[in-house]
Amino acid sequence: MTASSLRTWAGIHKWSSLVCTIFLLMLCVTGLPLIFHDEIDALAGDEDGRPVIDAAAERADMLPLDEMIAKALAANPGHVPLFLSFDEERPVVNVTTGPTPDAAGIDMQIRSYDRLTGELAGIIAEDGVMDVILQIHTDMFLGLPGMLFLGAVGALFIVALVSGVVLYAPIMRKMDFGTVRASRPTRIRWLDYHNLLGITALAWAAVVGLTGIIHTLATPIVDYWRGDQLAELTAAYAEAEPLPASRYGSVDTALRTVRAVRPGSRPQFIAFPGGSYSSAHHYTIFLQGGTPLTKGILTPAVVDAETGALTDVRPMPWYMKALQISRPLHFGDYGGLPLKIVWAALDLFTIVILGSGVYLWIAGRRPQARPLLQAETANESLVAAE
Amino acid sequence: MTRISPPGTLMRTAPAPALVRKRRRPLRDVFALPTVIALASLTGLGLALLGDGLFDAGAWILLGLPIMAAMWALRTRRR
Repeated sequence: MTASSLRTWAGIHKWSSLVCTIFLLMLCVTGLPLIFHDEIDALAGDEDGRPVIDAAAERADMLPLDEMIAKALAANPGHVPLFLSFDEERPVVNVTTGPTPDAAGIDMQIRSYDRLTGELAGIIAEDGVMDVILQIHTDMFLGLPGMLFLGAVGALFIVALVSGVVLYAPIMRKMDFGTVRASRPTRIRWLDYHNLLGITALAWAAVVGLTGIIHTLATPIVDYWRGDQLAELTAAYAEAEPLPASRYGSVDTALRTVRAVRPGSRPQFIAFPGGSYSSAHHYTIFLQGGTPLTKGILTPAVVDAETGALTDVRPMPWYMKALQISRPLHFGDYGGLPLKIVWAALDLFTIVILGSGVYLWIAGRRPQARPLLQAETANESLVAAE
Repeated sequence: MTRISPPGTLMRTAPAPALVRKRRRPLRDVFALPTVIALASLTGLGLALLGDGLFDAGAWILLGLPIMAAMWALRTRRR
């Protein structure tokens, strides 16, 4: 590599990293507890070894969904139903209601009901510490602009990874993999730590970075899907007036219709008419498969909310599949606790990489600092002496 | 090449291997282990998606490889 291209890559690495380091550090630090959100929630909650019962199971002793929805609406007069989701491990459904079909998140209420007893199992507040951490991690409480900004941070992170790999070569050409020059000055030692941790965590960091970027685009991606595929599925209803909540038919009937055409599939959640995930006339029932891969990729079944007749079932387009597959790959919650521990360790690696990167920059700015990189054309030692 | 133990580090009975070379390694050498580690990581990431049980166990080992490689290097490749 020539001296000038080396300088260029070093500049790219320095600036792409420096601009986003503080935000990446925030993402790593907030991401760490989020990896274990299930375990932390379980500690705080009441999941104390009761038998696992899937709320979406077809059991004769389960109360109808319509009854659960009616209870939630009775508790919130004036609200309309927005979403219904099924707990995987408890016979509990979560009913989200809001003042209007397109209500903002802050105006929604989520009430959980036990399908065996019909009792209120809780009101999900989404204002706990973990929710705050998630919100900071997702958009720093800035909504869509915050998400897109963090997407740009992720893009810079990818640039930093690529340029880091390019710079790895000239530094490592005279050393075996993993050499740490521990007896040399602090700056050289930390360069070696930075390189070792950086090159080992590289693939994981790239995957978590890329899937994170995809997540920051979730809102535009879902909006596009609604305007593109969902609109196509429900084209026959395009001219009709939005269906008022008073004319919503039975959700149980709609679910039975879908189960008849897709036997064996599990509903994950049901979107009611007028929200982000449905048309103004339909229940959209999102079905999931059996493996960790197909579990994350949902297939929407669209049912006329008034009559309960099936309109269509169609697999998601590639961009929705990409969004959905990004979820487990970003969260690391798809392979048991050991995978989460590996995730946390690599997250800590990244924190050290970020910290050492800042240190190397500061130390390199001292007037007496010698360059750490030299072009290969010079026949001298590649790594400058202290 | 004479090698002097730096102050404060443990003396080893066997001489440390020559980790720093006079001659440049070809790029293929430089990136051999990083490529193996990256491929193992990616395979592990994908494997856990495909199923539970053995798939998960394979993923732990493969994705644990970068961590083990770093720990190994930090223990044995200090000079």
